[in-house]
Amino acid sequence: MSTSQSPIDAKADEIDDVEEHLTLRKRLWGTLKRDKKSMLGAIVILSFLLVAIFAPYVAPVDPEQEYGIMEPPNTHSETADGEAYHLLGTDSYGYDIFSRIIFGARISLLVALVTVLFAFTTGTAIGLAAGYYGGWIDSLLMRYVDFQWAFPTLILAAGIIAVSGSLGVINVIIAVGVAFIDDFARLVRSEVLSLREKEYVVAARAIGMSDRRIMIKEILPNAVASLIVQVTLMIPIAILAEASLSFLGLGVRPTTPTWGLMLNEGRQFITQAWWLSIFPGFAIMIVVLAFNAFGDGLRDAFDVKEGEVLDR
Amino acid sequence: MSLLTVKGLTTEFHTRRGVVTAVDDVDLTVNRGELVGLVGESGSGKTVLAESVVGLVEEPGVVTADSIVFDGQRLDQLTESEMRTLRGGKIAMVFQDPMTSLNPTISTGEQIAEAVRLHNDTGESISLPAELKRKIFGAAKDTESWRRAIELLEEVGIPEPSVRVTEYPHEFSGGMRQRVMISMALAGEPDLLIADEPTTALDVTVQAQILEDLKSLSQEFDTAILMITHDLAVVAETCDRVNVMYAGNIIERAPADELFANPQHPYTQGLLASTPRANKRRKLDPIPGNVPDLTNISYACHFAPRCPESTAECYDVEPEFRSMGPDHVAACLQRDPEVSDRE
Amino acid sequence: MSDSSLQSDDGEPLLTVRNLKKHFDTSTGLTDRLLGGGQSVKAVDGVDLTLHEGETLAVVGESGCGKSTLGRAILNLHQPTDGTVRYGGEDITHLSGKEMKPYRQKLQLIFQDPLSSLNPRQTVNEIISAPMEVHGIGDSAADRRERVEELLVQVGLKESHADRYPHQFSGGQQQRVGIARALALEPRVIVADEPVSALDVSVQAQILNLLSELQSSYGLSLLTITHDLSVVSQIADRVAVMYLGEIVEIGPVEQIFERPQHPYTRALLSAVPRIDAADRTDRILLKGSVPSPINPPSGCRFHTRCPEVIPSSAWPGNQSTFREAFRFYNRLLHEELEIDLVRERLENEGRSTDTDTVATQLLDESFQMPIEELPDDVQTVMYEIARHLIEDNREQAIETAQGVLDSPCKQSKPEMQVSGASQASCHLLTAEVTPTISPE
Repeated sequence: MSTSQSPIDAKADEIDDVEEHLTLRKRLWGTLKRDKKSMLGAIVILSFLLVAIFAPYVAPVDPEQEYGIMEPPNTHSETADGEAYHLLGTDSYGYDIFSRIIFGARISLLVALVTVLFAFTTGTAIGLAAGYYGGWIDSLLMRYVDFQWAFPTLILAAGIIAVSGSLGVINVIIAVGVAFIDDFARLVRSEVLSLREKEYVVAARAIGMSDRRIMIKEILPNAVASLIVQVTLMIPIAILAEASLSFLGLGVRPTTPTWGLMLNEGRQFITQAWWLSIFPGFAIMIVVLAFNAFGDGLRDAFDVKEGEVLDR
Repeated sequence: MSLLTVKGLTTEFHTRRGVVTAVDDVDLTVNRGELVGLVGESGSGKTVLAESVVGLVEEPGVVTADSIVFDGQRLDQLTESEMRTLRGGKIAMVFQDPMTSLNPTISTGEQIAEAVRLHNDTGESISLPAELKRKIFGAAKDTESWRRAIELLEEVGIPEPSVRVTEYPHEFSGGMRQRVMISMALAGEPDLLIADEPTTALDVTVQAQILEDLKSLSQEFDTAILMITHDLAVVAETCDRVNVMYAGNIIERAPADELFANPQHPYTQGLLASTPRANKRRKLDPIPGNVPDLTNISYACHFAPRCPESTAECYDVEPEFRSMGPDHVAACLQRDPEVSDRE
Repeated sequence: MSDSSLQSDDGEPLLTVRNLKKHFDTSTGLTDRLLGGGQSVKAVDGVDLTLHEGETLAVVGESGCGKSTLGRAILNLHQPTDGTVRYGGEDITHLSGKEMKPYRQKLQLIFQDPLSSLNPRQTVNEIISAPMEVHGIGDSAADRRERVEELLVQVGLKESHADRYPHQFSGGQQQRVGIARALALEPRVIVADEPVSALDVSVQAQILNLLSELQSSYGLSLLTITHDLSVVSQIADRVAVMYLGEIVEIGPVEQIFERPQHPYTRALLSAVPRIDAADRTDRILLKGSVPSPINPPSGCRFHTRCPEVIPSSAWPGNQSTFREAFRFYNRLLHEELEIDLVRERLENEGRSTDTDTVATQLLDESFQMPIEELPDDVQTVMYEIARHLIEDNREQAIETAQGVLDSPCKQSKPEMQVSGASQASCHLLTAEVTPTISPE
């Protein structure tokens, strides 16, 4: 090629230094290093996760072990094999609150993560199909999403649980998960609508690429940034939803240690024993704040604009 | 006589990656009533140069200059509020995209009338409440400024100005919008009109109309125009004198006819050799490589890496302007002064 | 009618486009469709084209003339509303995605904006090897990688560039990547949609040269879509001039540039700014703006702006006075004459607003020459039209205007007229309506 590589061009190339390509991971790490608030959020989330995973080793006592009822924080109980220390007191059944909060983290985080994962996959699939194909597929799917969106999340979840007829972790996950589908579907659809007009998508069609490959390889990777941000913003909402359902008595079976249930049980004794509800409340608050701080950091890292994800 | 004289103007942007010298020690003169072209590719610094002159460079940009004199006034010593009065008044500007410069919710007539009120004494109140009232309840139509707005629209060649004056920007075509912008610029009866790529977003038939308009307005009002563009042909057709800019420097300056007939700087020569001409097919001789990144350029002549004639000296020795003929200078070490080597 | 007469060379063209139409429905949803709120934008409205082996055909026109839509409709990226596209004799107009796949290999596309045409999350290697993967070319990733590196060198980049991401290149280099992707399938036809208009002048020439080099080494046929007539004359063999969804003139570049037959082509060419003073011609400045493709003008679509519009047989004056009156008539038809505003202005100036004053004012504002220069009987008709309009009697006004102002250009669509190797659709070229143009 006479036009391309002359010696001068080579000289120019020596001078030309290339801007570094930042992968998502590099950008994320860069942000965490810069932004102390999101770093703190990440650390808190990570420690809660570790505590949940290693709950049996972390918890000082068995959460099913009964002691004297409603012992205030910072007290001791005499038991057969020595003395038990109640950092946060005991509840109305005599369970150790600190241990139950630790075990409760398992259920709360598990429910939140699985719920969001479920909503994420289903919602993304719906949003992709609706946005990419348009026409009647779009109308049909989005009418469903609108229909669902018109119901308050909690009422919808309560309805699903009522229909399924029993309490339990799986039912809570399905109920809250279904209720969150619309958020992901809307987000993905709006992303796809703008991405499918990009010339590289036209180029992919001109190549003869199949629709599925275009959706998965060309469109989805470019929507991933805002999806991740959305996930981090949805998890705390899922935690709250699970807690709310449990608080209403529609969540997991009573006696399962979850934050929402603990809050509910403590409610009756709020005047006599404040610690029964305050401490699980704190746990919820800390995790929710941590996820929000982390999500904000991600939003900056991926340069996703405020309006692009659906704040609720 | 000279209307605008810029000496030793440098504009730097301090970024995370380093210092970007967008304009590097540039001199520029515009005479009264003259059409001056500032031509260059993207990243040549032509727009930043104009923005620096009128104080529109924002953080993190830093403008330094030995002097910027406009009509006997030191622009580099004016306060921001003095500068604001001057902008849109004696120095007016027209930009590439007229739609983003016009307010979509206010009638074009009111927008022009406001410019008229701001820069002329029409005896109408320009207090904030008075202006707000006009924006919300519509312009007063029996005023001096409104009549002047209609006249201005007529002057820039908009048919039925008395009808169009009440319409909103979205009701105008691209070319018409650009004319509205020009009429707003004329509201302050400017001595200098800075037109930054005024026709780049327009179709060729519309471009022709706008260029004709600008030329005749310049004559009619004795307004000097600084025409900033990447399009050599636009400059060739409209301008009296031309400055060619490359990577922050003005590298050649000459009367338009002389420049296109007898280009001296290798960059100007390369640019002309690589521009296709309508109805003349010939072998294009492109300049190899790409426009350089202006961050931390370490070599003296910024064109050296792409230049077919560059030597080691070009990387080390700053090229000064050398006279290439009457009113014709070029900054190139490979050109002997006054002896033009016509090929 | 057909441009088969243009085939000086061997037989069957590679690509034949017949009466191609692409209308876009502006209605958005089901409710719109039910209520009938939508209109259709006639972006491409009956285009005939042929593209021969190894030739470059440029489609030129201003923004909104439908040239980009034409390119995409030919590639079946927009489902055409009507008409046929044949590739090597096969009708590919209504093929489904799967059926179209073998032809995709033969027909490729280059874009205007090089950055947006490359997926920002993929490396150059992934971008260029994708078409090969899709069509099962190459046995392994390593195999394809080798071919990618070959292609990169061919388009003037380096092998090592394969691992870079699009944003790490300059505009010109990005366009080279786009070209390499198009070449990966060894196509026969490339549609290049404004391939250089986003690039700097010095880089434009590099890409134009690259395209012509590749064309000769691959034996490619190029369909270049552009607004830039300088680019056309540089690379095209033939040129098709488009206006409002139709081709108004088509033929060899030299002939069209030297002897344009259609008034629009003449205006377009005269508007191109020239570097060399010797090339400059008298400007033909077009008045008015391009009409909307939703409701294009009847007859010849250019008649609303045409400087050479043919006067009606009933017109007693010369062509230039007719043009003025005809513009007034067109604005009447498009409801652009605003009586209320004229009245309001008169009121503001404290003048009477009786019918006669308003009529005089309206005609004064609408004509760029003194109305007295019109022939006497025409003046009377104009006043009559204005009065009808002021009395809110639009139909009557239009009827009156029709009598003297209906140009043949407005009444019927001009057929393509062959002249030498080119053809144009203009009534001036047809024998029956040869007008008596009396230039001012």
